[in-house]
Amino acid sequence: MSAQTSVVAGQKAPAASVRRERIRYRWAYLFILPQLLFFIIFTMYPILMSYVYAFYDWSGFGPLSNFVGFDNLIKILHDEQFWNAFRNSLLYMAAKTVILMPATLMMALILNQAFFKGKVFYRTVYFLPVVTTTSIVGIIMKFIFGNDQALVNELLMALGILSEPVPWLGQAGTAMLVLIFVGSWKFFGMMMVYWLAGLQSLPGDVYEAAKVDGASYWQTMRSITLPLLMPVAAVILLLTVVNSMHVFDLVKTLTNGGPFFATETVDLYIYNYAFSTSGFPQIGYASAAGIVFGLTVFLITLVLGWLAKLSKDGKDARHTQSAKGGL
Amino acid sequence: MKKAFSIGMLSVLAIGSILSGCSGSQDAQQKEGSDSSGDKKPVTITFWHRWPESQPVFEKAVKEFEAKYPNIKVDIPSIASAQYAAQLQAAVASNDLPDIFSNQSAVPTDQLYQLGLIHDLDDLFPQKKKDEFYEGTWTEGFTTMDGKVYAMPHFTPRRFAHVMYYNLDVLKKAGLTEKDVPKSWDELIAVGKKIREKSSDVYPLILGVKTDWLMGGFIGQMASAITPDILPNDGAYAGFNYKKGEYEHNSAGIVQTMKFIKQLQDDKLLHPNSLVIDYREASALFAGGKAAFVIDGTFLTSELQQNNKFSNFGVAPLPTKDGKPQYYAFQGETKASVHVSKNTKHYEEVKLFLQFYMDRIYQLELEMGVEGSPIIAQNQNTKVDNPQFVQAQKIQDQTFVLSPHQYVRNLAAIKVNTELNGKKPKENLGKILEGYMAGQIKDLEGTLDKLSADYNTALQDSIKKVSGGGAKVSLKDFTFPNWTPFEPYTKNKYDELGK
Repeated sequence: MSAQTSVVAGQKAPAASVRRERIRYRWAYLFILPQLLFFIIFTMYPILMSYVYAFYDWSGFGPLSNFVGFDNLIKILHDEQFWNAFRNSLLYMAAKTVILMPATLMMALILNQAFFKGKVFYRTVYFLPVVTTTSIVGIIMKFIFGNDQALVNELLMALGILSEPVPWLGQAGTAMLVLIFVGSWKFFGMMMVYWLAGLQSLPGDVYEAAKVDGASYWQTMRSITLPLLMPVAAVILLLTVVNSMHVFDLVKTLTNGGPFFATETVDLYIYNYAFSTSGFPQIGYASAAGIVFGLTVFLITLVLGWLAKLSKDGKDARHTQSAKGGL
Repeated sequence: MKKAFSIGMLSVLAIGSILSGCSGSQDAQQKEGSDSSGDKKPVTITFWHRWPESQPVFEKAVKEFEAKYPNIKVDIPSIASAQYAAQLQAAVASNDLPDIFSNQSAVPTDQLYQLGLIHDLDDLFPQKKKDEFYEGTWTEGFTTMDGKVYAMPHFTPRRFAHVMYYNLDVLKKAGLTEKDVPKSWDELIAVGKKIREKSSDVYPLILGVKTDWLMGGFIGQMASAITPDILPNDGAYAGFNYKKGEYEHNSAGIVQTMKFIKQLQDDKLLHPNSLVIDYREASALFAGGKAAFVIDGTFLTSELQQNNKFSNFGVAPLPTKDGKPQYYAFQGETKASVHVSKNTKHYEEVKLFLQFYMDRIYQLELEMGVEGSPIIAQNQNTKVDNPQFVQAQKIQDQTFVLSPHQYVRNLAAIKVNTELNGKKPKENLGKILEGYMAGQIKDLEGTLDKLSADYNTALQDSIKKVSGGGAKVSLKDFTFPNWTPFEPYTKNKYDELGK
């Protein structure tokens, strides 16, 4: 009898917990539902529709009309101005990544030192640009980098570096440099915080063991910190690249495509076609451009995501190896 | 406990969203039910416009109108003119147009007519009323469709001219007067040098180069003094030679004008910020005394007086190469007009407002120094106590000359325009000026040559596509060999060409 009841009791207990789990899942789905709906309506649907619009030469007014097949896509691939915008976007993204990755890591390392006073203050100061409104930053930077009695020119002339004011935004090369500089300045704090989070997640016992062994700062850096940071680095790289591929509000207010399309990025190119005020807007053509660029960003994301996975697998492999008693 | 918490949160969210949804409709109900006295049902009509310079006129006019008709309320929200196209687009897509709305070149009358979105206004315009307006106001594709009126003009169609404003304070400081305002390029350089000598941070001329449509417009107007066959015009037909029927952006007039602007920049006679600012930043610097001259449209007059609170200025024609006369295309169409939505529920009240519009708002635009009236008699008879406005209007009136238009010759040209919009190159004169001044474009003639070639190809392809679709149209419809620039191209000239 007791054996039977215990068996029955044993069967009942898992059934009750399974039911509890199911109820929990149902609540979870219920809470996810609104966000999922928003995602489908405001993100998935427009993306899908843009694939549809790309096959039409439509101005956005009235019903969808004027099917042109692959014409828009072929025109995009042949459009010199699109590739110019594409190059500018890639250049901006590459420059920003190359500048920011090492610089923010260094700053995070400095701010992570235990003895460093005023850590919180500096963290806040460096993070402030991230929370400012990008379009306002663009407008103000336009005045700072202006030509006549502007801050940067006056400062450099006062320091004796320049003898004549440089038209920063009036020349193709320097306009791109200013754009990259302002973009980097704006995103600096964000990346620094990512690195700080990564650094603080590293296990402290490894460092202690290294100190006991008498390792110097640079040896610690090279053999412990950097290798352990690889997975975090891969993710930060992914986030930075994806963030820098899209720069619309800064370009629009700072240079509006720069002297003669020199700083026109793909976002601005699409905007000008989709919302043109001179003549009719061309939603179909803009959608085609959006598709080409979207697929490019997607590919880059895939590659970087794969890199991130590789580095994580590498880290896991090293861990299992050391656990097995290897190096 | 957890369950109670989650239920609590959900109910808060639900109540919150219901409340926010409710509040909107409550306001609307209040508005409708407030005026229960009087025998007429209270009515609100909505009017969307894209002319910030007319906002004070509308506000004053609405007060008068509502006093005259207490049961009609007119709601005029202020919309940034740059957002107007997008807002109109959304309203068309959701079939939710306001009762009255400004036209917009991106949604031309013929498209609105085909979509069945606008109301015909023939009962407001018997022939006698139509005759009060300038010749060419009632054109198919713009104000009329199939012979009926579908748009009511807002401004005089003979606008806007590009003019040069001069700052009297700056001139006085440099020891100059109104008599010294230059009429030719050489005079501008001479006066400019004098101004530079007197002060190192004041420049003779400032331009808002980032506003490419304004730059392209005034270049075309200045160039008309050198090669008048290239009709100075906006949009897709800038740089078009109406005598030959082809684009000629690399004509002597345009090339020399652009080179002249670059020379002003090189000689430090042009304010160094010009390259990176737009037209309103330029006019603000002009009002602030940083430059003696600024080139803008005649609409800057009211902007300076009302927004910059600056009145010590004058208006002069643009200086041309040898002081020769200049002009601008008046092809008869009305670029600023208002439509009435076909679905309006208050057409009678809208008619009353439009009647009031023509009687009083046109008048107020003149009196408040904003713009000329579409009705000829009002322009002639109204006394305006605003010397700069009168000055600007006089110059504007002299600048506009009735010129040939392909739409009058052949209505199918409207379809060509729609096609051309998709095929035309993205560069325009204003952007090329920017690139040339920034040093990116080293071969100006070559770039303009390429622009003409691309435009001509686009035009020919558009004509081919439209005639392939069955309409009869050819490049001949764009060629007017019997046209003499500076002489008005009247209706008999079209008849001369024959069909």
